[in-house]
Amino acid sequence: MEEKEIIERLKKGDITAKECFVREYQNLIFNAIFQVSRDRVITEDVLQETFLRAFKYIKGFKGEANITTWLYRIAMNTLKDEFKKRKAVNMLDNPISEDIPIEYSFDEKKKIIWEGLKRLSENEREIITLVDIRGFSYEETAKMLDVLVGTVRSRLARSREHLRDEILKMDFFDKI
Amino acid sequence: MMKEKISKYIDGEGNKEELEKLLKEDPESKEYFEQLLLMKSTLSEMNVQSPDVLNKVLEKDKKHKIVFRYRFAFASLLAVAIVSVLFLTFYNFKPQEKGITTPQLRSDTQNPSFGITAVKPEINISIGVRDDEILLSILERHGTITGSSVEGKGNDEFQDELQPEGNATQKVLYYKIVANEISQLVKDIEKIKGATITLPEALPQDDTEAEIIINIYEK
Repeated sequence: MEEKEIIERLKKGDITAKECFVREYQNLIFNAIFQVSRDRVITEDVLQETFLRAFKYIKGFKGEANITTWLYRIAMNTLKDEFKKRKAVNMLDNPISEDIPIEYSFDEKKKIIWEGLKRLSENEREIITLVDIRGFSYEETAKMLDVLVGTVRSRLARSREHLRDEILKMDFFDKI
Repeated sequence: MMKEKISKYIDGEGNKEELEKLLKEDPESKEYFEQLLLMKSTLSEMNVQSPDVLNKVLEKDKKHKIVFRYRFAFASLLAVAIVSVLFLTFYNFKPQEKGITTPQLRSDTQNPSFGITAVKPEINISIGVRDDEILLSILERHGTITGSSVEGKGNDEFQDELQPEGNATQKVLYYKIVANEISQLVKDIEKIKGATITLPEALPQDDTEAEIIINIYEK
């Protein structure tokens, strides 16, 4: 089923379209949320809620933005709501817990990067995730973050420099 | 500035010749460029496999959402009903004579339909219900379903024309009773912890449809 057809059928509440939609985007959105939240449980909850919100608001989707951009924005807003909720009930002072285990599937190089990313701000992690991990272009990233392409360029350069400094301290480049 | 140019360059942007010259002449820039390349290459392999959430999403989508559509008349009737109930309440407690301080009950012979006779008795409401038989059974107890149609095959939504029975007073009160019963439904069902009801920010000024969304939370 093509993207356009999926969207039209989603607007009618079609179950098959919902299945296709979730299968198509769950991996992409999971990674986008995971790199910011860095918690599998939070990520999975937010991922489910993102799709439920998408089904609810799809009728308002006019096709002006890319569907990925639209879904990504829903995901990030849902994640922010989740963080607010957790802060409100004092579950976490800092939404990103220090106790979260390193992703089990990572090798040594990736573990260092993972640790380095932890030391970055949410905004820095977000932009690196979009461009370097997910491979979005500057233009796509600018739309997702609702900023100018020039802002993406400069923010990305600063974030990369910060990450490079952090992993340098952990001898990342000596291990290559 | 040099670092931003290098950052752009590894994404295939910027002036290629200018950067190549810089990398050739400045060993520090060259080292930075190589480090960013390595970093980017490792980052691109850091995708994590998502768990399959399809079944959970579809299950929640089916269970937790009941969508109602109603017409402007519904809101008008509800408003009339509320005003009438308030009027009746205050009327009952109004002292009948000077010097009497205790409230007096109205006589049974009085006409109870204050302000309600203006309501058109033939109004229908249109309610879309998403996969909720319990809710339908409540609606059926207060009115006769006169028409039924399936909206889109493979879709759990359906729509019924509902014609409440009884006289004008009963028709008006019907809407209030339905609202109360929905609240009761939430309390009675063991699996349900609570519910939130979202109304549109403004009621429609014409006869177009508006939406009430009820989210029900399981225990």
